[in-house]
Amino acid sequence: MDQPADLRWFAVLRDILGGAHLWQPRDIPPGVDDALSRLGLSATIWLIDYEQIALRAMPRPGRDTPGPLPMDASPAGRAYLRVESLAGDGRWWVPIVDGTERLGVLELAGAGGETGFVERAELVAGLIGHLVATVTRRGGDIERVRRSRPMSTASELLWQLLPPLTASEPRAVVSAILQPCYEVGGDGFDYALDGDMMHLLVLDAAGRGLRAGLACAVALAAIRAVRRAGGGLSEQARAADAELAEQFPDTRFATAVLAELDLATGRVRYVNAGHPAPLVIRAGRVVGELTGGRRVPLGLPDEDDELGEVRLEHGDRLLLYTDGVTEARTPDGARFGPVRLAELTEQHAAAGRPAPETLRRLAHAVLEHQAGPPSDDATLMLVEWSAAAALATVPEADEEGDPS
Amino acid sequence: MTDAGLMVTAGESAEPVAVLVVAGEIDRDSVAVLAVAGREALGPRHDRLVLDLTGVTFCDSAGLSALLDLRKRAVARGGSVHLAGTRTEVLTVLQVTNLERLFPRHATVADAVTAALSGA
Repeated sequence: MDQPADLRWFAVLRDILGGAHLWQPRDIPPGVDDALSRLGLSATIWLIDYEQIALRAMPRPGRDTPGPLPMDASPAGRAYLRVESLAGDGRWWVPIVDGTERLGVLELAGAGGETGFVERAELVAGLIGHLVATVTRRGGDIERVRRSRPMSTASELLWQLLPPLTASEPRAVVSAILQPCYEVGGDGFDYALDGDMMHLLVLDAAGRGLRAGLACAVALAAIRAVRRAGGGLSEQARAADAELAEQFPDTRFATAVLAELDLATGRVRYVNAGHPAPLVIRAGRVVGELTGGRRVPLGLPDEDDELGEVRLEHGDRLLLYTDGVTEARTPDGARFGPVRLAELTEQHAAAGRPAPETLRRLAHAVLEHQAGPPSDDATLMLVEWSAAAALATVPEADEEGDPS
Repeated sequence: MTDAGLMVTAGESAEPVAVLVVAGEIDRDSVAVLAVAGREALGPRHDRLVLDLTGVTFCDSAGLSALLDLRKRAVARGGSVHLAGTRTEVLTVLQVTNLERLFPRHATVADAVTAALSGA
């Protein structure tokens, strides 16, 4: 172990952590840059925009802010997509993750490339990821960098409710994506890692815009509250029924899938409240659909209490979605459909590709399929019950970093 | 009543069953037409509603909400809502959302009225 190098990098971490107590969002780039200048490095922080099409630089005082970098054909884009550090254009590009949620890329210019450099740079980038995720809540500057347009009220409400887009633990990864990011209203999702249990939720409230967004928010919060208090699937669904009926004088309903995956055994138990059936994908083929546990949508009373159950094998993928995906239409009127969804999932879930990247490509394929702007929210949630898939979401230096 | 995409007219009622003939697309832009007509039809002398959906080619979640509201209103008065001539497109939406069990369906308006009269 190279103790002098470790001490130098420790000083960088100490500067960042020590200063961050008093940082506004806009203080992160100069604070990080100053800390890294101890090592002769200059740092630029790139953040992914909401639509996951381009990386946008956080401004640093006294310097011009570079223009956005597209995903393909740039080393920054590749580092982001693959969650892998790499060298290109004479500098280093290190993925910034909050846990395993992909937030952007750290660009490092100056020296670097010596043994252990990438591993230490990834530590700093991981810290920056956590900081971005927390400090962004203190003010609007990080949001302004990541938004290419203003958000609707419904979108602002929803994004505040959602958990990070990706989370991993040693046995599995869960990742989600939804669009249109700036005008979403009605769709929502949630998940929770509670020991051996991974809880999953996808919601689609009837209607559109803030009207549907409010119903989605009520259902999501009701389910989350009961779940956190220890209530099971049926109780969570009934809580959503009660709150939706009580809050709104007219009928508001939301189709939903509520599920629990036991990470030790692969058993999935679930409720399907009028929602398109999630797909079980094994070795690139759809081997099952979650068609059991059926009841009416949330918000409508139902005595049916039956839970569906299925058993996953290691390596299986579970894909949940809303009908905004499968009902998307081409200019000639053809539906996207679940068959095409399964085919594209197989196509894009290349071995070793991080789950959020599979989803990003899937979501863009759905958009390309459509004629004109989306007429409905489209949400995708992918669960991979696989240790290898979980590791693929974590930046990991190999010992021989590429110095060129 | 008419909206660009939806037309709702009164059919032949048989107290206490009101009949509405619906044609076009029920979506969030046109749904108010159905909602208003349905509320008016479920007046003091009618607590059961038959909707002739032979001419309905599309129904989205906003349309389902409106149907559910009408059902809630009818059921609160001891009545019901029956559907006649439901096309595949609409039936599919009802099936996927698991709502088909809430709305008895019949091939013809006459069948629907008979069923509604008998208190089904």
